[in-house]
Amino acid sequence: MHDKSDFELVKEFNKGNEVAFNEIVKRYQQKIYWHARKMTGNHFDADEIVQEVLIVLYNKLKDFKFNSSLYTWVYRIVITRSINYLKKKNLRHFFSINDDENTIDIKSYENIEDNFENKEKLDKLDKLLQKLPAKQREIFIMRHFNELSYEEISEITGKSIGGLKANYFHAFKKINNLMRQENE
Amino acid sequence: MNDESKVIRYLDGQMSDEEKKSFEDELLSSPKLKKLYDEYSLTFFELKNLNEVKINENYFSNLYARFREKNISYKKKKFYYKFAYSLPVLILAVILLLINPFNPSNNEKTSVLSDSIATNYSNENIYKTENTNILKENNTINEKIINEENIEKYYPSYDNEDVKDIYNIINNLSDEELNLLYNELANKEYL
Repeated sequence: MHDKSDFELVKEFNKGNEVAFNEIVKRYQQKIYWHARKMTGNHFDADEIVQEVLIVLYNKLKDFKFNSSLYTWVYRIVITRSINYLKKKNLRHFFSINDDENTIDIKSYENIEDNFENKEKLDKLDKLLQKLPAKQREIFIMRHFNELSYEEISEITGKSIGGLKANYFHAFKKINNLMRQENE
Repeated sequence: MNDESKVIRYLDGQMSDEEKKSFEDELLSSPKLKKLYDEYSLTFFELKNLNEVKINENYFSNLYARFREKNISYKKKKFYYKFAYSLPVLILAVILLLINPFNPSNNEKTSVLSDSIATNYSNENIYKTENTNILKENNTINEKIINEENIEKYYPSYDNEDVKDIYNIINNLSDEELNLLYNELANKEYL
């Protein structure tokens, strides 16, 4: 199963082989998680998005026609879900709708980082990225951390390469200023 | 192009080989550009370092099992939503069937029937009886109609096939319908 291409795994899954889907999840779970984590700034929200993305994949994989790579398709789902999740969260916050279930669950994720140093790094990164507008953050994450080419980002987001470069420029400039302010 | 833009393009790998060469030469000759470059490259590499973080691997090893649980409850929710949407539609359909405006109402039915009866009762043959004056009797029309013996006595035209059909229909009416029929007939001019 590990040696099979994405195409073969999708075909297997569409025939009813759940093990193939498990393999697809293993291949992409870290990428899905880390994009969601950087977009949302906390583990709980990232986990919600990961679950949503996997549900979408499970139910829509039969409709995937390989017009793009599986990675591109998965990424498109992740960025859409992340942006929608953030919009919903902002709305809930705006109308002050408290979700008591979430507060209870957050405690179970307190030790998600496996050591203190990692926790500090992640906290710092989360705080910096949360200062960027969502759309800028999305492009910055894909370019700076995932090292996708502008052509790939353009294919995923549907935006022009010129626009993406401008977004990256403004995002990087802002983060640089924030880090300098922190260090002073 | 301003200095900031040059530095970011260089660090981001957007420059061609020629542009890179030109920028590197400028770095050597411009302290201002050098300072800006040092600042941005520090940020650039610090961010890369912050990205090198691992989380507890148990999270990923349990992920698939948790997803399966969530998928089952998602499918249940989807079913409940579909049910919730279809139930009011079903209830509405049942209500509409019960009060179907396209079926003739009881009033309409008895009105049509009373018109038929009135036409036949107005037949001159009916009124030509020796022993009774229907108009003066206090019995209800439905009693007269249902009693076949009386029909033969008072309504010689009972032999008329059309009238026989009407009596057959009336025999099958419910009490409520008969009452409605009576009221309709009572309001007709011939009574």
